[in-house]
Amino acid sequence: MNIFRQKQKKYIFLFIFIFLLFLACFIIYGIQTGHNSKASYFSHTETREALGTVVTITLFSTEENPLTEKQLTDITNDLFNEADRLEHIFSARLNDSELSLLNSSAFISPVQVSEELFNLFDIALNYCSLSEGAFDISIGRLISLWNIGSDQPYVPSSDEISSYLNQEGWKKISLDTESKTISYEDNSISVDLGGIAKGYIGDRLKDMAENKGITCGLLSLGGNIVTIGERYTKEDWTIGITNPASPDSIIGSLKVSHMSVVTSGDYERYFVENGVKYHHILDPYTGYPSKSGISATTIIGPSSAVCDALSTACFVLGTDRGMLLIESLEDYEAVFIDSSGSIYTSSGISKYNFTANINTD
Amino acid sequence: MKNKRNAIIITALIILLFAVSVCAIYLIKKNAGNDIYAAIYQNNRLVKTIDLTKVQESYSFTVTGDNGCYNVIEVRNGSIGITESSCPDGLCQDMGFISDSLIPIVCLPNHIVINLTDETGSDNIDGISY
Repeated sequence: MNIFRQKQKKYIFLFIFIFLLFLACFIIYGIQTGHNSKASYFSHTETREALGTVVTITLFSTEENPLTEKQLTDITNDLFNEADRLEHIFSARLNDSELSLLNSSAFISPVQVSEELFNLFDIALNYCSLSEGAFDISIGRLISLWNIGSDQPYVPSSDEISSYLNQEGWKKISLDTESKTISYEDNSISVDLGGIAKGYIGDRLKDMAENKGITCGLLSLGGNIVTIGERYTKEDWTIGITNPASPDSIIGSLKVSHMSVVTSGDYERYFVENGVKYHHILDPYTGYPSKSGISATTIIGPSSAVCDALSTACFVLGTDRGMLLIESLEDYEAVFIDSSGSIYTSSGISKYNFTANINTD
Repeated sequence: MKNKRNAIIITALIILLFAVSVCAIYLIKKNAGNDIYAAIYQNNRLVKTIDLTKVQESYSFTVTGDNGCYNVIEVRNGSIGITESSCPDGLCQDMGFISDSLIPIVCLPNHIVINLTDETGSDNIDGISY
């Protein structure tokens, strides 16, 4: 009798032990998967062709700011619609955009424009001036002459270039703050906002998302990165910088929150004719694709529009003058990569923890 | 004697159960996280999704569009790329093969976007500036 009881006890202990073992395994498993899955946050991502490029919007519902899947989907839709609306204001390629209408009549008399167009002109002209014309929105005629990034790019003759060249053309554009009107001095001016509009639209989409209650998100407007808030893990977002020598790999990465990261590179839009590569960033002083020796410029700062304009300006200015411009601006930092692969960084880049990828392939 | 034999059996049983549960957890995790899906869009409409982890042998297919434009898409185990295109610039072919969700393959002239989604995320990078 006694022996039987002891045996029974032993088996009970054994079963409890095995049961606990299983329980422990599943608890460990649960903790591990719960940590990085839907327990505390989830996201909605959508990629669409928009703004003449590809736009990806990722919005998060977080522990502090829980939102429903439907709310995220609806806000994503609203953002894409807003991007389309703004494109119909700023695009020089769309014949019925507000900008195209302005281009066809602002040399005759001042034209009253929408608040968005006026604001963007205001910011753009400020950076035309700060960059001493390295960023110049008035070279629309040169841009459409080359037509880089379209179906039919074209290498103009030097005669054509000189007749289309309009150095410091931005000085011929006047804004009237009172009446919100824009006028051009003569019909040699045609404005193209391609070097800043994507950035500005990024800022507007971020504002709109925040107004609709988003506190965490990541936008990519054709490679212009806009971060909303901190990463869902309450850390910084990690943003890679494309290696211009091999655009399917990254040359380094940055840690940012609330900031925008914009890159201009000679690998983005280009065409090759008779063995010569023509990239899309034109030097407003020569009329040809810029030969400053830079392959890519990345700018980090609070305004995506400013980052966009500065990345173009620095690309044209080259490493030395470009870095001087960045150092003169408090809120903006830069990473430049020249054609030999050397990396240049501005003095304040350490706050974004820039780390170069040594093992790029 | 009997006690000793029982102890050995019980120990062996515990070790076996432990090993089985560890294996099960490992397999569950592996299957749950590593699927990579390619979504192919034409004019912003989803035309095809492919589970790239289930591709055994590489194959190609052609997506045709308006005005006779076409893109030949090659699917490999874990990666996808455009190998031939009617577009004038050929930028989509220059992008090579992609195996993560960071940068989509785009053919703007033919309105093709190939986007990967992977649940595990890659290299802890959230986005790429280009």
